[in-house]
Amino acid sequence: MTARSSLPRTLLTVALVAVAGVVLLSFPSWLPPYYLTTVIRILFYSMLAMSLSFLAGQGGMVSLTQTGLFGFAAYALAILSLHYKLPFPYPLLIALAGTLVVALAFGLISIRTYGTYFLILTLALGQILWAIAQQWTSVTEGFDGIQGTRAPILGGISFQEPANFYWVLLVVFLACFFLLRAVVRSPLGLALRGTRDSHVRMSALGFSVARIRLTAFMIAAVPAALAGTFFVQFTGIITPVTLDLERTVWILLIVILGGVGNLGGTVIGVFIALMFEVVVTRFTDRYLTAMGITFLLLVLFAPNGITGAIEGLKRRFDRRRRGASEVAPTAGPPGRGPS
Amino acid sequence: MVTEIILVLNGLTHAGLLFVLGSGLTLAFGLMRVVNLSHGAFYLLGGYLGLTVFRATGNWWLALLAGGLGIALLGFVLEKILLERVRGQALPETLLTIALSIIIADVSLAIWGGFAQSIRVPAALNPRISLLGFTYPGFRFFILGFAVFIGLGLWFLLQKTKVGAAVRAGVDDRETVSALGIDIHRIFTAVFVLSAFLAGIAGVIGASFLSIQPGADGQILILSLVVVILGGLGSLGGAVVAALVTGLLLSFSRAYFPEMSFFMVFGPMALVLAFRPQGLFGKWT
Repeated sequence: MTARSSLPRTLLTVALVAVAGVVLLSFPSWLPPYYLTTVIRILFYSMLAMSLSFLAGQGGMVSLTQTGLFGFAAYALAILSLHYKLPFPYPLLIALAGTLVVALAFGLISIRTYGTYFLILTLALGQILWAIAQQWTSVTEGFDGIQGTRAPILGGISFQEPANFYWVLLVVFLACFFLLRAVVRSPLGLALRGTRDSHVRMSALGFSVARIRLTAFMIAAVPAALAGTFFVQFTGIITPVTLDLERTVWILLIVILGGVGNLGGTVIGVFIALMFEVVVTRFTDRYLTAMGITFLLLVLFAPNGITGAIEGLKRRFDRRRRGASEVAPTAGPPGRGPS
Repeated sequence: MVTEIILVLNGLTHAGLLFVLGSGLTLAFGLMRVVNLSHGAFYLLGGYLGLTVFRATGNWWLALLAGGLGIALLGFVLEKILLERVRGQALPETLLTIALSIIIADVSLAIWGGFAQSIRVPAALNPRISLLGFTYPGFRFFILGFAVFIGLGLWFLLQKTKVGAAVRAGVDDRETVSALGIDIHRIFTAVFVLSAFLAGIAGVIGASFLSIQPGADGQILILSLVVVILGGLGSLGGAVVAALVTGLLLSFSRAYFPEMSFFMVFGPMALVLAFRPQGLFGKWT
């Protein structure tokens, strides 16, 4: 809150939130089914992307293992509900708890490393999950994957109905968003940014750098795991493709598009990435090549993403309006400050 | 007993391949703190180039050379037009190599198709060797010898030549080496191209005793990363030890726990990292 916040401003905020809430909640009643499906996909992929965006932006931890955690949760849910026929909510609860255990193990292994080393270590860990999904055919059914996971029907309400599914997902999505935002604004978030900027200085100041980074890693695992469970209940299928390198890069692409560390930006990132997929696959089979080239150009020319590019334009526009005499604020590095 | 001997031999062969892949990767990292994540894709494309040349000429050595030189040239071009633009920024450079890996794999799929293919090694290179009452493909001994030859070559290059001294100095302290008037960027280009050459050669070897297909790039990338992480980034000796451990583990677990062999490989890596985050022979930088 800024010092300028006054009654009219507060009222305006309340009104905006109310309008946004009504629009979001009413989607199922007026959006055509295809678009509602797209909105659902945007929401669970955004949760996954948010998990990486938070770690990379706030902690400087470019973790390429988030897709693996997402896939692990999805596999666990599918296996427990289809092979072991456990009733709801046990598959969901065990899948989430199991994913957190995996995240804890991966976190303990990788938090003492930084930068590129952290990146390749988490990449290797995530890819090992992918390899296991492919290899352990008696449990994961190999390349074919596991088909037939459905959302539950509880007390006569079918969550297989897209509208009901959407409302639950929306609530969980918002909860994850506000949880991560609260962490960003908390002392923990500040300490995390401290470890990102200089872990040596932070430990000299008496902070337990490892504990701060591990806590952040565990918090980030929550939206990734939840997203995986929604993904498998919505699509009904989980295969090794969901955990592979291309999917990991796709999520990275989304995070960069949305602006690294910008939690809300991930929604825009997923939207653009899904549109891109629809358009490109209409013209060519070489979707992955197109995605790779886009990613390459993005890293080279717009590392701050779409939101960064828009802010850059806005700054340039402001500067022109104010006149060149005034010193323009310099662009911060990606991911600085709360989203 | 015979089974165990065969498994050890298989493991050593695999270790040879992993060493050829991991050595280049670890040297490039030690020097510039950049990991080339398109190493797996280089391997795949090298294998396909070798396959095409072998089918056209029937000459295995020519195929090996084509795979190695083709990928070395590709590495040189990519380094000059792309990677040098972001030199010094480890993260963007690593991300660029991921993007390249996806592009290369997808273009390879378009050219060579989606099914598994392999190079039929000529009989002259693959004599059937009788050992303690069983026969073993001689080509595997050849691979092992070849890996030892490359290891010795790299050791000689690093320890006994001026360029090698500059590389070793660069691994320890880049700034000082630059200040001494050595063009560290040219040395890095050389190491990167050498590493690409080795990946290309490994691809042809892999295509000859395993097979190559889409997805082989990802699998080989994980295994090379495991070798590099386990051995310690930047350490050639570490790459030897880690390749041996990984190769033998893979061979034995494939025989006894065929569904969990990747998980078994992950075990020692996790264990070592728990006690030595820098890897067996790595130095903190």
